[in-house]
Amino acid sequence: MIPFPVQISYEDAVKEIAQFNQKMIAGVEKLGQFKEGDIPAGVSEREAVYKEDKVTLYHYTPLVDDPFPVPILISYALVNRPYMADLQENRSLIRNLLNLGMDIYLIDWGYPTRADRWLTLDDYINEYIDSCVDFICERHNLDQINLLGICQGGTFSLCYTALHPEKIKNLITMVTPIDFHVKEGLLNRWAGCTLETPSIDVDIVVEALGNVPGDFMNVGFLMLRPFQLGIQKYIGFLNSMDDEKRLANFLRMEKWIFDSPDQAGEAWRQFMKDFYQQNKLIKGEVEIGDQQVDLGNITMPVLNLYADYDHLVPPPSSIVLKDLVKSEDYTAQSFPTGHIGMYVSGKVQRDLPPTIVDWIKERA
Amino acid sequence: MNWNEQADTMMKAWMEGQKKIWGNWYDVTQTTQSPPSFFSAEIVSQWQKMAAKNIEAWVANSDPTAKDVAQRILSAQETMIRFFEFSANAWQNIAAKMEAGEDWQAALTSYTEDLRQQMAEAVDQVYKGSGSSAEMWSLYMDQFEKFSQPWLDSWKQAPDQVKEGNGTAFLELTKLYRDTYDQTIGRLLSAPQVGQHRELNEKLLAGFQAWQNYQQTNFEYQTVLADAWVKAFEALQKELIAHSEKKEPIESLEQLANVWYNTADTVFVELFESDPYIELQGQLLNTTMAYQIHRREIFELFLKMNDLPTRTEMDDAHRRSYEQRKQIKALKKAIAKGTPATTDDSETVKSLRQEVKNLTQQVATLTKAQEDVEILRAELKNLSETVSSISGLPEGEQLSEVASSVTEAQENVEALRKEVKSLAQAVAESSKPKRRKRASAAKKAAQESEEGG
Repeated sequence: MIPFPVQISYEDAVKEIAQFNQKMIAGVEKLGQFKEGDIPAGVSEREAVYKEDKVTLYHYTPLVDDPFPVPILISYALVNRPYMADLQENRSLIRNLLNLGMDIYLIDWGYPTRADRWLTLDDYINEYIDSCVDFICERHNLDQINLLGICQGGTFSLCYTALHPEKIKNLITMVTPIDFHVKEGLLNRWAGCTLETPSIDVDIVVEALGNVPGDFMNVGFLMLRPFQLGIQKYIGFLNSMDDEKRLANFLRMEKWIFDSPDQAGEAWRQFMKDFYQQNKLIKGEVEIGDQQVDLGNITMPVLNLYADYDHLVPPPSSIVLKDLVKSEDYTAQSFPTGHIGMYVSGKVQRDLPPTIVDWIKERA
Repeated sequence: MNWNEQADTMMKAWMEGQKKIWGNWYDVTQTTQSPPSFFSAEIVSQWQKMAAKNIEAWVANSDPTAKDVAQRILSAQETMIRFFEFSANAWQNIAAKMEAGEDWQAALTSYTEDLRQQMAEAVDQVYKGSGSSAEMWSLYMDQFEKFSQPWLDSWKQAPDQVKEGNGTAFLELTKLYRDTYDQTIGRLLSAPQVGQHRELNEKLLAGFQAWQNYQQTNFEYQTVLADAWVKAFEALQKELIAHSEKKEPIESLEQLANVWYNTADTVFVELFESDPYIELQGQLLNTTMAYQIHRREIFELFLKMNDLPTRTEMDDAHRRSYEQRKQIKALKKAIAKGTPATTDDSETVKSLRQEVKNLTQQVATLTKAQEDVEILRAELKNLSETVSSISGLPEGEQLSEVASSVTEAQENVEALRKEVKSLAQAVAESSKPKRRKRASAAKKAAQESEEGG
């Protein structure tokens, strides 16, 4: 007799549903006690030290008496909010770096509005990043600082460093896409790495929408794993809903996932066409403003960090950096996690910050 | 305009569509004769009541993030329970055939086709993709009117001259177009328009064409997705067969759900990675954007009629503002670059000023010296006259003595005058390079300023 694969008796099913509903009811009660203000955007103390248009440069309060003399400037992506790097007390990349004696600055790109529709990559890289770097140099009386770029922020950091190498002492890139034509990445394929315009006509999207809404990007990211991210995550969450701490952590992550700024139209246009569709960065054909980006100008020490199971930035997309920079001090290190795990995995957060700090201190 | 109400209307329409799809499936499962299932209607009904009760409680103390999370959970749960119910019934029949040694694959195929048909009918009913052009035009205008209704409602509160303006006329115009199009189905679509309202006509018709393209592409896209659902169902059944063969029964609903999620994700991601799907998704996106552009153009005509700013005008204003801001930043940078050079020039000017002051003093001294020489000459002359008049010496000797003294004095004066002259020349010569240097420095500063701008 062929066994029925689903060996769930009526009584067991009812019992499971009843237990599930009990958890849900308890969880709902706890959920109802939360207010939006209970979900902070970042946990480490910081101060806004420089503003330009909607961009704010934050300085995090050092946690040691004598922080490392050369600060780290963190450049995050435009597509999400940077407080992912400081999401919760025990899983904060920024907090861990502060604990290890680093002096941290972070660029917050803000929330672009329709008035920012015409901002270009030149504005973001040669204006905003450059202004922040100059500010920090002047504040600390330095000629150079350390730059840490995360994801798309890493791509920006590479472009900036290639254009202004004299201002960067050490460069760190984290889960940074460099080769956008890696076909293992579904995001790369949807953005047009194989088909270009037939997969997405970037020009018509910008003409129709102006700024690309954050929700547009969110739906795209969710569709990469529709059932896991759209359903399974929430069903799994119900099992832990009665635990207040896990509930808070889930809500924080949920807030970050859907707190996506709009993308300034022109900057998005160039990034999609030049980087995703035509893969100009590795060809040395990207132009920011009127300057061509040559990654060969990067000769200072480089630390390239990537995630082994990253479905957004597949490892081959990052690893290629080694062959493009002319640094004689190049280090690559991977971590056994996914894209988001680099910031929030407890295990990775145990190893990643010391990797960064030790590397920097050796190159003081 | 109440955009929230519009968004609610659209969301309700989507939800109704979803309910219709699942309602059809539920009806199928109710009519199919199958062994008793733990996914009984009673359990589902009880669950629904409890979920609805929970939602009411949430609404009472709503919080945006928490409420949103709860809604997603409930929607997902209901969908999955109904799908499992259908799948479980299908499996029970298939397993019975397997036991009896009958053709179970035909049964699987039959259920698959049933599911595919349900999906296609549901999609067709929701999107009405099979209508005639006239029906499509009517539907388009109905939707367009509904979309513009909030604008018209807002005009009811506007001053009289707006109320009596083109709001009503616009609706009348759309009704006129509907009637006209009904009489000449499809033929006017591509022909150039004539008459006073030709521009509006052109835009309305282009908008209709764009909407039609969007509807057709959307229908194709939903069909492809429906097919993926069917394949996911097939994959689930095969996964359950594999569990049977490995003698690894599924012993909880949670485990069953996880099998479904993993199976479905695999099927859908495989579809999403294919170039044909990517191209179709791109077409859907592009037709949606094209329709969005046409719709905006029509509404901008609408807004212009009523002297209201348009999105295009705002974008233009923002662009000018952005360009000016960029110019100002560039100028500030250029000036900042010029600040150290200006300081150097100041030092140069300062030192030159000091030199001029010194030279002026020297000239004053020399002038004084010249004056003294003239005085001395005059005194000497007087002295020689006096000496010659009172000395008593033979005039010749006196004169000789005095003459030699005067000559000597004159020679001294002459030497002194030459010295003064050479000094004056030296001063003049030394000031020339400094004037050239000043001119050169000023020219350089001007050049640098131009390049920085």
